[in-house]
Amino acid sequence: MVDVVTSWLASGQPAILNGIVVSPRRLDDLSPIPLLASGEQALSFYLIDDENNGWILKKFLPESQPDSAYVKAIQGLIPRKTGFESGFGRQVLQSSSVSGSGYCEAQFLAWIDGAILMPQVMAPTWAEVSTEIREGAAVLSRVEKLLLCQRLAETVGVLESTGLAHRDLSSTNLMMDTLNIEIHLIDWDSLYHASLPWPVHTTCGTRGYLAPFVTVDGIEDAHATWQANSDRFAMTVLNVDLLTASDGLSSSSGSSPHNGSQNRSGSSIDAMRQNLRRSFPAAVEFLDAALAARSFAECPSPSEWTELAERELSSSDQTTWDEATAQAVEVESLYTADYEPHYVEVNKSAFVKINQGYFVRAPMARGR
Amino acid sequence: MISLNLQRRPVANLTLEQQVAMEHPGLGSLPGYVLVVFEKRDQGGAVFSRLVSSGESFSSRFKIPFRDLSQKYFAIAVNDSVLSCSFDHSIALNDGSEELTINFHLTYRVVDAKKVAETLEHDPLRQLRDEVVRVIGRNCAKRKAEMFRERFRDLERIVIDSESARLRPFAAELGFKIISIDLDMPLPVQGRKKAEVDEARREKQKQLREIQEAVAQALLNVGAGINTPAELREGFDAVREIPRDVDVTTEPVTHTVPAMPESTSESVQPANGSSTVVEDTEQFHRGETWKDESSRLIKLLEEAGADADTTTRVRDDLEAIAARYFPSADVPEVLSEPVDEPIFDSVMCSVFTPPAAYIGGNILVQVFAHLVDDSEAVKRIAAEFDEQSKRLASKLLTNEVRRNAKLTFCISMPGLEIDEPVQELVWCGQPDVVQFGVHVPKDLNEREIVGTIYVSQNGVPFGHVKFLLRIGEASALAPANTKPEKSSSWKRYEYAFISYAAEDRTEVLKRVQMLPRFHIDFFQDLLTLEPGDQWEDLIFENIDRSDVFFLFWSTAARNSEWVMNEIRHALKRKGIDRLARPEIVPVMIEGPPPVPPPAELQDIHFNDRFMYFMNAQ
Repeated sequence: MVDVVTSWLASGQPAILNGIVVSPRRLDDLSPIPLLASGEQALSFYLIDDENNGWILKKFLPESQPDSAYVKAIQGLIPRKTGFESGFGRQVLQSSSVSGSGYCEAQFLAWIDGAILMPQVMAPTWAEVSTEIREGAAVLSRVEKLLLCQRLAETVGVLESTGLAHRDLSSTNLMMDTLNIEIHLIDWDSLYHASLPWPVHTTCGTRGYLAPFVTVDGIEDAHATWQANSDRFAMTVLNVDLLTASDGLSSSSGSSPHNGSQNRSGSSIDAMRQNLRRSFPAAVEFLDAALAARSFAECPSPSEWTELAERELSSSDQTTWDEATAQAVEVESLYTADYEPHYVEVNKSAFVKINQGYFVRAPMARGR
Repeated sequence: MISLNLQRRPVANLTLEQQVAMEHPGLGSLPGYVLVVFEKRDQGGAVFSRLVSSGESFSSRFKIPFRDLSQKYFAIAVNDSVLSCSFDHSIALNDGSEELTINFHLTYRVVDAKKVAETLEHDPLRQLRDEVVRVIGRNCAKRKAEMFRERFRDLERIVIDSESARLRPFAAELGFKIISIDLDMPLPVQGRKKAEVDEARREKQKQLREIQEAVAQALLNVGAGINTPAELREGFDAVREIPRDVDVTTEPVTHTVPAMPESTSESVQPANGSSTVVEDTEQFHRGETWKDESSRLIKLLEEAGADADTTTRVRDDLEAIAARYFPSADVPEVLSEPVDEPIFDSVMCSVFTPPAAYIGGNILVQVFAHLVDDSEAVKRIAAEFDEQSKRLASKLLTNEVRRNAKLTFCISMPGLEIDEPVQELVWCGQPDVVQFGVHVPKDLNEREIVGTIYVSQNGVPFGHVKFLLRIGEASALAPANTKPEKSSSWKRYEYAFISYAAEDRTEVLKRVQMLPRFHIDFFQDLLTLEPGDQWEDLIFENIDRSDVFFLFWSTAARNSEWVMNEIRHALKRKGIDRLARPEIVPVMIEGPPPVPPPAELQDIHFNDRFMYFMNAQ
């Protein structure tokens, strides 16, 4: 499978797929190997078009190839809204999608049938961002966390309002533009809608983001998430993860609600609950409700999360200029990407808690 | 010791908007100001002596025989109130895609009067303003244009939050405390590419010049023998046909305005010489004609596709001309001043009424718009009309009010009879009042009424003040024990739900475009959705989120099952709590005669009068 794209890369010739002129990206500048990401069900090759836009060419492994009618129906169901670009912008390719005026070797034409071409979302995943935060290389302020939390809830809310469920929300399927508070969903190949046929080879989501009631006697049942509103549990896990994202100063760094969510308890859950109780006490109730839920209807809804975030944001608005909140804000601002020395009183005691190793890292281009 | 130049320029030239500080003749205290008193030194310069608070009297610690105190001391008065100023700044986005203009609204107060007085020569407010623009502008420039267009409120929150840590100590260093910084974008909220921006700017200048030419010509016509409304209208029509190459002055014409004879008549009558004395009635009619023609001109401009900014500027020009030439014609005096910069005020709304009303009796509810400094003055004025009146609510309106803006007050007191529930005033910078006569019916059962004053500026509601009125038998009430201020509250609307029938979409769109200017967000997708069950959850979620529910009321709305569903959901959301959100505000877009209210809202705001709050712009 990789050989086909390696040959394409070696040809030095772009292919024209449904009118889009694309070439594979190299693993690095001189490598003869194409840049790709390998998943359990598919390989994703990174392409670049003649206007320097990124594209993903996703090719399922033969044993995981979903039903073609299902794959083709997905694109038309996804709302044309910010955050869903890789969904509504995807195209299922056939041999006839390849123009003869570009690269069109016979092997390539046979291979590309059933592959999916989609725009690449130019943002890091939440998994990457949260790692950077834990390492002190990026920072999210309280307001940014709340706005992102609200954004995720709104995104899931839009899906729910159109009868859709993504069914595989996880930290690697959320692309985060923290600067512009945008969340982009990727990997739409488990999508639920009442009009869609049951997809063969489908899973019920990613471990750590599965509701406890989805698993019976240790066996995950994909049918359990084949229903409306089935993103609610994963949304709560991700929102709690967002709200408690630690900047490395906290003793509870590294814990995440998806560690132990399957058992509804554990040290990670306890640490998370404590962390939430300190910063966002209202969200503790949501976490507990999701863990105790016996159905998706019992999990906190997108609108409940939106309201919670709005309440907290309104409260922050009122204290923005209070002296009492000054210290916390200043500590956070020290590690922003574009921080410049300024006439600000610095609480030097904050430095003793920081691993000196972090200071040798180059500042991140993204983040705040 | 500091060295102060005692021959300072007048403070007014130091661009200290809102009179942060001013030189104060003498040493007597000044209400609303803290006096910073300096002691002059013989060798030059001065040293700080003491602060004199409002109401405190200055006394010398030392006897100074044979000398006037002012020979030894001088004072600078520093404003002790919450102040605000607004300013614009253009921001070129870092990705080079667009250039956008942001309005900044800075609210602040002086916390270190001595520091402000000592650094007056360096214009501390200017420094603060420049730093606000620099820091916030730089932060905004990093963002994407889509964020400005689609989620400006989020952008505002995130930028202000992240920069408050820098600006707070900066302001403190200058002697100020920032109370809030609000950002705003001029409508239409859309960014454009640079080439488009330049092209639009050229086009706008061209349009503006054409309009200025038309205005100048019209002014010439007014002064050159046009004596009837019909002639004036013809003049306007002719003006619109001016060839481009005709060189017409754009300077305001300052010649004598001829008097207009019986101007309600369409017949042509001879001009009445060149007298500068114009009879009030004639002047009124002339002004009315000007207003009508101005409206037509604005409408034509809008139909020609002019943007909101151009239209606003032209409207301002026309109003300024009207203020100059027709001062008695429904235009406040303030506009007879130069109008290069619009003046905005932080306005308080105070509600005065007897703290209790009696069954079968009448009360007078007085609502004042005034500056903070005039709080005591309005109390006296209120007492002149009704000596029983107490201040039941007094709140600073969260949006600044532009001079000459029309403020509309609508009172709602469920169960009580109000003779004129909607009243207006034009804000001129001076205390002004609207008064509502209220009758308490004999069959009223409630013993407490929550009154609501809805406030709108130029037709757009942007908040309400609530107050509590006790009702009872004369003997059962003890007004002296009431503490009415505790029962009042000001609520600024932040998120609106727009409920309307699909048939009214065009009318609704015209009205809601003003909401963002007042920092009222609303669920914009709703304006493009067709009613349908698939949106039900989304719509109800947005009703739940809203704090104000604008009900655009018409025959179509009354017949719309969807609108009625939304009303029921909003009512369900409110429950029995009269103060719970969302506040349901009907906006009449049909009539008069008014369309009868739905049965569900009989007890809310549809009293015997109706609100036509939001005028189509």
